[in-house]
Amino acid sequence: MTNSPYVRAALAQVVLDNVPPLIRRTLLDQLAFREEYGFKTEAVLAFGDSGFSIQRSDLFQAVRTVLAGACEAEVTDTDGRAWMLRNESGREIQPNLVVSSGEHRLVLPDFAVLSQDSAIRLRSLVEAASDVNLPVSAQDAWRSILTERALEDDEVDPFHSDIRDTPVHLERSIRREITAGHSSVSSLVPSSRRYFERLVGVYDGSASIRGYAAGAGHKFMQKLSAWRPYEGFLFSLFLSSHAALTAEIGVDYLGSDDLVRAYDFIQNHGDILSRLGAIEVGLRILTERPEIEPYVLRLVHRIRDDDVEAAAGEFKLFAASFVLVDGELSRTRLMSKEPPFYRRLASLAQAALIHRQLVQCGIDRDSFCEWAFNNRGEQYYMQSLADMRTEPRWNPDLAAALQMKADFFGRIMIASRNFEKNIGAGELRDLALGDGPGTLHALSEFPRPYFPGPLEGAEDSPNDLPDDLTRVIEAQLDTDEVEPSSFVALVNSAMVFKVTSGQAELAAKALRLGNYRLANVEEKSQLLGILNGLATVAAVARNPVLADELRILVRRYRHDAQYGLPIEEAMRICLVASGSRDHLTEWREFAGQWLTELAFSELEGDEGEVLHSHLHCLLQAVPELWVSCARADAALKAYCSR
Amino acid sequence: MTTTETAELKAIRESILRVRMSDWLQLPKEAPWLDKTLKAYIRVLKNLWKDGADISEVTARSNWIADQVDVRGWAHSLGPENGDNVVLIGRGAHILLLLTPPTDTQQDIVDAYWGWMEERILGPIREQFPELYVWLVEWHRRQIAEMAATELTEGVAT
Repeated sequence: MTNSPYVRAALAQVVLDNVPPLIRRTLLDQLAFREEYGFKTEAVLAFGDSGFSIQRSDLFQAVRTVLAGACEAEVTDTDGRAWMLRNESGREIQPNLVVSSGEHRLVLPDFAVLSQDSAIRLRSLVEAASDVNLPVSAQDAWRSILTERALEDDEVDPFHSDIRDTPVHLERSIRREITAGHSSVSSLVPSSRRYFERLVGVYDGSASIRGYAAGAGHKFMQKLSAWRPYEGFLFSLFLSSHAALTAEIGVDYLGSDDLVRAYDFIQNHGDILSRLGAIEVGLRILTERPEIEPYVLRLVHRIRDDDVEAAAGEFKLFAASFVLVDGELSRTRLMSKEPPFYRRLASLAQAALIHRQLVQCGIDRDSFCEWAFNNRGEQYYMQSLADMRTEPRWNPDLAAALQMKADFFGRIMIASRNFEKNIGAGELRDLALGDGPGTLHALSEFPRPYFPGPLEGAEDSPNDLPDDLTRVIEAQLDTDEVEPSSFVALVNSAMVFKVTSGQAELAAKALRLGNYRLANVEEKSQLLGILNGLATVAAVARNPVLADELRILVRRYRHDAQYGLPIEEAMRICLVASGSRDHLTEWREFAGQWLTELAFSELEGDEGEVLHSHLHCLLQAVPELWVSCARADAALKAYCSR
Repeated sequence: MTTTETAELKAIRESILRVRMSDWLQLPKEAPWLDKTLKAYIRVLKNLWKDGADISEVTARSNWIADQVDVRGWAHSLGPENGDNVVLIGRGAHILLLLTPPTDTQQDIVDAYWGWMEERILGPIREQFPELYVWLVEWHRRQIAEMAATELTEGVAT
C-alpha cells in the first residue's frame, strides 16, 4: 500500500519545514518538485523603494483582470493599504500597468506575459528579446510557453530574470546605479554564468584564444551583427582583448553613416579596449571604408596620449576594472572549470563594459581604482599566479596600466604592419609605422610591447631565440663565478622568445655550481629581478629542475642579512616557479611543500597575517590545494592567533 | 561582537591545531577521534542556540566554532584521493550536521540560527561551490521522498 497524494504532501511538508530556508526555496523553485507533492508557492513582491509590496498572487490576479479588459482592479498591499491597478496604454496594443494610491503612483514592469491574449504575450516577448538581445535559444523556450498559455505566477520572475541577465540590461543598470551614486561589486560583476556567456559567447572547448575566436567567437560576432548592426558592432568591441577576436568583427551590415556614428561614439564615449578594437578593425577595412581614417587616427592619439600615472588615466581605470572583475570571478569560481584565457576574456569584456559606463557618467576615478584594488586585488593576484600552471606566460603584474598601454602599442604596431598596404601616406602611417619623435615605436620601451597579452599565457612565443642571443645565454651561464649578470640574457629572453628546457637546465646547473649563492649582488631589486626572472624561465620552459634549484636559492636568501626576501616576494617566486609543473597533482605538491615551508619558517612583523591571507585567496581559487596546504593553513592560524 | 578566547578554549583550539599542523593523525585508524572532535564542536554550537539567547553573542561564538570545524583543514591527512573528494563534494556529509536546526527551541531562535547558518555556511557554498550545493539539495530531496513514501500505520491515540 502506498500513501495517498494528500498524505505524501503532508509528510513532505513536515520534512520541508525543517529544511534550511535556502534549500527549501531551491526545491520549491523546481517545477518537478512542486508537482510531485502538489505544492504551490507564494511570494511577496516589493518594488524598489516605492514602499509598495504585495502578495504575488493578489497582484497577478488583478493584472489578469485588467489585461482581460476591466477598467481597473483594486489590490491591497501587505500593509493593508488599497491600491488601484489600471492599464494606461491608451491606444497602444501593449499594456502599460500603473498602480496608484492617493498621491503615490507606480508604473509596473511589463506583465503582458500574464495576458490571456497570445498576440499580446508574444509581442511582449519579441520586444523584450529584441531590446536586450536575448539569445534565440532562450527566446524559443519562452515562445513555446507563451504561444500556448499565459505564464504561471512562479514563471514570471524567471522570465524577467532571463531578460535582466543580459549585457544590454546590465549596462543600463550600472549606469543608473553610478548616476545614483551607489554601486557594489555584485552589481558590477553578476554571479551568473549565463550573463557572461551572453557577453562573450559560450566556451566551446577550444584550447587557445585563437581556436575560440575562429569557432565560438566567430559565431557570436555574427549573431551580434544579425541582432542590430550598429549596437552589435559596439558590443562586439567588448571582445577586443585579442587580435584574433577583432579579426572576426565584421562591418558588412554597417552602412557608412552608422559606421562613422559608431567610430564617433567610441572616440567620445567609448572604453579603451573598444578603442583598440576599433583601430584594429579600422586598419583592416581602411581601403574599403576610408571615411573612418580620421577617427582611427584620433583613437591612436587617445591611446598614445593617455597618462598611465594620472589620476584620470584611462588605462589606470581599465586596469582597475579588470582586476575587480577577474578577482570577483575568482572569488565566485564562476569559470573555475574553463581555461584562464576564457575567464580573462570575460573579465576584460566586463571591465570594458564597466569602463564605458564610468567614462559616460563621470566619477572620481582615483577613488574607484582604490576601491577596486582594495576589494579584489589580492584575490585577482593569487588567482593569476595559480593560472600560471596552465598559462605560464602571463603573470598578474602584466595587468598594470603601464604594461597594458605597451601591449596596446604592440598590437597597433603589429596591425599596422599587417595592413600596411591599407594605410596611405600621412600622419596615421607615420604614427603607427614610423620611428620619429612621438611615434608609437619611439615611445615604446622594448620589449614591453612584445610581451604576451592576457589571453596568450598558454601559447609558446612565436619568436625563436636568435642564434647570437643563444650564444650569449650559454656564455653567460658558463662561468666560474655565478652572479646576477650570469642570468640576465636568459631572464630577459623568457617573455619574448622561445626558451628551451635545455637552457633552463643550464641555469639550474649554474645555481648548483655556485652553491646557491650569487656573487656581486648590487642591490635587493637586482636580486629580486633575477629570482623572479628565473622563476619565469622555469615556468615557460616547463622545467622542474630549475624550479627545484630556485627553491633552494630562495631559502638561502629568505633571511639573508643584507638582501632578505619579504614573504610576499618568496610566495610570488614560489607560485611562478610552480608553473614548471602543468599537471595539477604535481603542481599542488610542489607549491604546497614550498608554501608549507614558508608557513613554518621564521616570520617577521605581519608576514604571518599576509601569508595566511594570500593562502586563503589561493585556496579559494584552487580548493585542491587544501590537500597540500592544510598544514600550512593550520600553522599560520596558530601563528596569527599567538 | 567579537569573542574573547578563554585560556581553556585557546588550549583546546591550539592542541587541535597542533595535530592539524603535523602528520600525526593516522587515518582511517584514528578517524573516530577526528569525527568525535568535530561533532563535539557542532554539538556545542547547536547548544548555544537556546531560548532567550543573546543572538549577537551566540553569533560571535558560533563564528568561532565554525572556524574550527572546516573539515578541509584535515585534507592532508586523508591522502590525495580522499582529500580531493572531501574538499570538493565529500565535505557535504559533514556540512549536513550544521544544516539541522537546534531542537527544543522557539521558532525565533531557529530562524536566527538559519540566518546565521545561511550567511556563514550555506550561502557561500551555493555561490562558490554549486556542485556541492546541488549535492546538498539532492540529499534533502531524497530525504523528503523517503519520508513521504513512509507508510503510516493506523493506530489509536491514547
